[in-house]
Amino acid sequence: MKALAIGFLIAIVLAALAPLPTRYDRQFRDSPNARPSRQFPLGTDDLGRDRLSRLIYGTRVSLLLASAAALLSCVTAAALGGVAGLAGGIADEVIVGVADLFLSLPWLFLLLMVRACLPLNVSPTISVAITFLLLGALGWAAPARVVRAAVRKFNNADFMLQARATGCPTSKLLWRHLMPNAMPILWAQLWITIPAYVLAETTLGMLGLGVMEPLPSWGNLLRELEGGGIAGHPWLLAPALLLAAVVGSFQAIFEREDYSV
Amino acid sequence: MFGAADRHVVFRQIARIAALVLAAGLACAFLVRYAPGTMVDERELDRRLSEESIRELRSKKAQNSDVWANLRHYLGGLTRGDLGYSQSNNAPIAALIADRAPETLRELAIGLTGGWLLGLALAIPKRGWGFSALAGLLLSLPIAVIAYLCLLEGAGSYLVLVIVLAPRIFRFARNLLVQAYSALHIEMARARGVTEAKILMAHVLPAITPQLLALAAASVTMAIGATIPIEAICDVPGLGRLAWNAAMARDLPLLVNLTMLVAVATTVTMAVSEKVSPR
Amino acid sequence: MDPLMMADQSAEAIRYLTEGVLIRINRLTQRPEPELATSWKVAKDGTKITLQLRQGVRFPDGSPFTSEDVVETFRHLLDPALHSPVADTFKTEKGMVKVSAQGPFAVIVEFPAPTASIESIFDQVAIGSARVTQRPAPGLGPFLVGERKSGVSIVLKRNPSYWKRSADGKQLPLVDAIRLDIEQNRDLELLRFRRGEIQLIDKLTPDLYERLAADAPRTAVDAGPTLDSEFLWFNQAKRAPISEPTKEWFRSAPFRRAVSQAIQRADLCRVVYRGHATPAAGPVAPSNKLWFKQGMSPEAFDPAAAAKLLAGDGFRFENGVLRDHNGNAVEFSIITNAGNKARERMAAMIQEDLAKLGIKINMVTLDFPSLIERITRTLNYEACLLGLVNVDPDPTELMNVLLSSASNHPWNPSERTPETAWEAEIDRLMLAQAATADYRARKKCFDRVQEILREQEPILYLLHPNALSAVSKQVTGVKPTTFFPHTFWDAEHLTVTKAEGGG
Repeated sequence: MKALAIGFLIAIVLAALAPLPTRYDRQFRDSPNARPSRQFPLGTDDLGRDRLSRLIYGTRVSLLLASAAALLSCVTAAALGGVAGLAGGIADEVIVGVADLFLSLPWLFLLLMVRACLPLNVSPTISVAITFLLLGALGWAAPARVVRAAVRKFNNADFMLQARATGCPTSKLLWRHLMPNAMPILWAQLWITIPAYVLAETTLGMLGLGVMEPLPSWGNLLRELEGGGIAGHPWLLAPALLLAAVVGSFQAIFEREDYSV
Repeated sequence: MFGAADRHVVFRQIARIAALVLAAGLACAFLVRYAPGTMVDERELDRRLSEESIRELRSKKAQNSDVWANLRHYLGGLTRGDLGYSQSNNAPIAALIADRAPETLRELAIGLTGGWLLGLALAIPKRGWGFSALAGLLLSLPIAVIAYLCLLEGAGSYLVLVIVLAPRIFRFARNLLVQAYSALHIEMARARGVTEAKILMAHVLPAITPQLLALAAASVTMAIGATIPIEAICDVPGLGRLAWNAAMARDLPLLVNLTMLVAVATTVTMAVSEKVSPR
Repeated sequence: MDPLMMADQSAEAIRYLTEGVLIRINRLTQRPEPELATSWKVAKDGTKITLQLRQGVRFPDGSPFTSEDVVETFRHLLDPALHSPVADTFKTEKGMVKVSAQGPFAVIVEFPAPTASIESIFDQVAIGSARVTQRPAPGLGPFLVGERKSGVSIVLKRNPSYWKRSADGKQLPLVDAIRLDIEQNRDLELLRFRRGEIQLIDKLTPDLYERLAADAPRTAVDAGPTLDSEFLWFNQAKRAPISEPTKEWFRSAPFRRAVSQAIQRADLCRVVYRGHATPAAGPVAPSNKLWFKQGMSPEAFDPAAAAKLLAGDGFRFENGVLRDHNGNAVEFSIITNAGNKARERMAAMIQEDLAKLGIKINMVTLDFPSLIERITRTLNYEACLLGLVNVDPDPTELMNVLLSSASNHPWNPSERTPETAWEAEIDRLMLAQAATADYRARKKCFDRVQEILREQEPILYLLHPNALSAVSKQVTGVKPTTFFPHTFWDAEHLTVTKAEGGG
C-alpha cells in the first residue's frame, strides 16, 4: 500500500512538471463551459479556459508551495519545540503559552489582513507564495507541541543521562544524540503537514481568500463546485478526486498520530 | 479531598487560561485596529451623502480608534455584563451572542455526538478495508468541499460536522483498539471462553479510556475550528458565521469578544486533554 | 434602525414595505403617484411644492395622520446631527429647506434654490408619527415589523390599519405576511427557491439565472437593462502614491481611449453575463430614455485604432511588450472586490484583452473595506473595477460622482479646484442642470456631460447588467421591473397560492 502511494505521488509530481497542453490562462471565448472533448479532455471553465491545463498547473502550485510552507512550519516547530522541551521551566511555559495563543487567534482574519497589505504589483506567483509562507509561519504551534513532547521524553531517556554523566558538552548532546533521535519525528511532522497545508489552501480558495486569478490552484478550481450541477457535469469533481488521491497517498505513507483536522 | 497542592495547580491553570484569553483578545484588537479598511465606513460610498456628513462619519470612526481606551472601557463593561455594541449588526454584542450561540452549540453537540457514535460504531467491530478506505477519502477532502457537497444534496450543516469528525475518530479509535486487542491478557480471556462483549466492556474499553478522553477533548477543539468554514458556506446563523461577517466588516468589538470565546474553549479543552492524556 | 437613516439595500427593502411616503414613484411607469399626498402643485421656478394630504389615514396606534406628522418628520430629518443620506438630498449650499403646515391636511415645502426632479425626492422620505419618542416606530406602510432574527430573517406582518384598498374594494395588502431572509450564499438561496422555501429572489447572478432558466424557464425573469453600470477607472490623483510613469499614462486621454478600444465589451456581456447585459456607452443606460443621449454608442472594439492612438502618444510595441517614450514597460494592477464572481471574470477577460496590446495587468481582489480604504483614503491603487447601483434615473443622482470636489469623484477625489478644463466644464454643467427645473435645459447640459465623458474617458463604462429575478409560480401579481425593488415593488397587490412543489 505504501509503495503504491509513493509511486502515485511520484507520478503526480512528474505529471505536474510536464509541459501544459495549452496555456492555463488562455481564454477560448467561443467555448465557455464546454463539455470534455479531444481538444479539452476536462472541458472548459466559464471563461473558456482549458480545465486540464489549469488542473496540471494548479497541482504544481499547490504541491510546491504546500511543501515550502510545511518546511517553514516544521523548522520553526523544531526550533521552538526543541527549546521548550530541553530548557523547561519558564522558557517552556512561555513557548507553550505563545503556541496556545497562536491556536486561539482568528488566523482567517490574519490571512485576510496580510492579503490586503500585499503590494499590488506583485505577481500572482509571489503573492501566493507569501500566502503559503504565512500559513507556514502560523502553523508551527501544533507541530511544536509534538516536538516538545518528544524532546522531553528523549531528554529523560537513559542514553541522554549516560551521555551527560560522561561529561558530554551541550552542543554534542544536541547534535550527536538528540537530533538523530528527533529527526524521524520531524520527518513525520513534515509529511503530515504538507497535506494539511494543501487542504488549508483549498479551504481558503473556496472562501475566496486563496490564489489570485488567473493563477489556478486546487482551491480556486474547486470553487466551480459552488455552482452545483455535478450530476450533469461529473468532470467538475476531477480536482476533488485528484486532491483526495494525493492527500490520501500522503496519509498512507505516514499515518497521523496527532488529532489535527 | 482536594489538598493545598491540588488547589494551587487548579488556580495556576485558571490564571494561565485567563491570561491567555486576555492576550488573545488584545492581540485580536491590535490586529483588527491596524488592519487595512478598519477606519473606513462603507456608508461613505453613499452618493446621497454630503461632504459634511462624510466628514462626520470619518470623524466618528477616528474617535473610537484608541485600542487601550477601548480595552479599559470594555473591561469596565464586562463587570456589568455589557460586552459592547456591534456596529455591523446594530445590536448589543451580548444579545447577539446569546441569539446565535444556541445554533452553534446545537451544531457542535449533534456533530460531536454523531461523529463519535459513527466513528466508534465502525471502529469497534473488526471491519474490512472498506471503511478504512472511506475514512481515508473523507480525511483527504477539505471541509469546504464536504460542506458544498452536503449543501448541494440538501443535507443540513450538522451532517457536515459528523462527516468531518467521524473518520478522524474512527481511525484513531481503530488504532487504539487494534493495539488493545493485541494484548496478551485479551488472548488469555478469549482462550478461557470469555465473550467478545465482555472482553470489550471489561478489558479493552477501560484500557483505552484515557486516550479516548484525550481525543474527546481534542475533537472539541477540532469541531470549533471547523465551524467557521461550515457556517460561512452553509449560511448557518451561528457564531461561526457571525465571526466571518465580523471579520469582513471589521467589527472590532464583536471580533474581540468572539476571539476570547474561542480562546476560552480552546485553552480549556487543551488543558483537559493534557490532564487526561496517559503519560 | 431609524427609517430616515436606511443606507443598504436590505434596510431599504424594509423601509419600502413598512413606511408610508407622500409621493411614490411607480417602479413600472417611472411616474410619480399620489400616496399619503393626494395631489401636489410645483411652483414654476421649482422652489416650492404644496401637497394636499390624504384624510382618514391612521397610524397603527390609532392616532390620525395630519400635517403635524409631516412637519415633525422633516424637522427630525433635517436635524444637522442626524446626517441622514436622505436629508442630504434636500440640502443645498444656499440654505435649508422649510416645511410648514397650512391647516391639518396641507403642507408647503420651500427650497432655497430651484430643485430638479422635486417629486422623486419624496419617494425616499418615510413619514413617521409626531407623537413617537423612539424610532423606529410602526409606520404607515402596508406591513409592520414582526419577528426579527438578527442576521437571519425579518417577518413583516400585515398592517391592519393600512389605508389603501384594491380596485375591487379589498383591504390591502392581500398577503398576511412577508418574510425577508438574509441569505449570503447565492447558491443556497437558489436551492431554497427550488425547494419552495423562498418565492422571490430580487437579484440573480447570470449563472444562477441560466441554471434556473434551464430547469424552470417560467420562473426565471429577465426584466431588461437596469440603470446600474460596471466600469473601470484609472487613478489620476496627483497625490496618489503610485509611480510617476504610471500617473503620466493614466492622465493621458489617448492612453485611456486606447485601453477602452481594446476591451471587448460584447464578450464581457456574452461570456460573463451570458447575454444578460448591454455594452455601455456612458453612465446612462439606453433604457433611461429621458436622459440617455440619443445616438451615443459604446466604444467600438478596435485594437488597430487603439494601437494607433498609443503610437501617436509616444508608446511603442516591442517584443510583445508595450513601452512608453521613456522605455518603461506598461504594467499596472486592477483592483476589484473579492467574492464578486462577475467582476473577477471581467477583470480576467480585460487582462487578456490588454495583453494583446502588450499591457501587463495584475489582477488583485480585495475584501471590500480594504478596497474602500484604497480608493477613498490612501489612494494607493492604480486602476479599479467596480459598479454603481443607480436607483434614480435623474442625473442629480450622479452629482457626487461627477463633481470634481466630491469625495466620491472616482479618478481624483476631493479636488480643491478642477485640475483640468474638461473637469471644470463638467462641474459647471452638472451644477447648471441641478439649478433649473426646465427639462430641456437640463437635458442639454447633461448631454454635453455625456459627450465629455466619452471624449476623455476618465471612466471606462463597460456594461449595464439586466435585472434578473426568480419568481415562483405560487406568487401572482408580480411585475418584475428594472428598478429596485425589482420583484416586490407592488407587494401589497401580490397573492400567494399553496405550494405544490419547488420553484
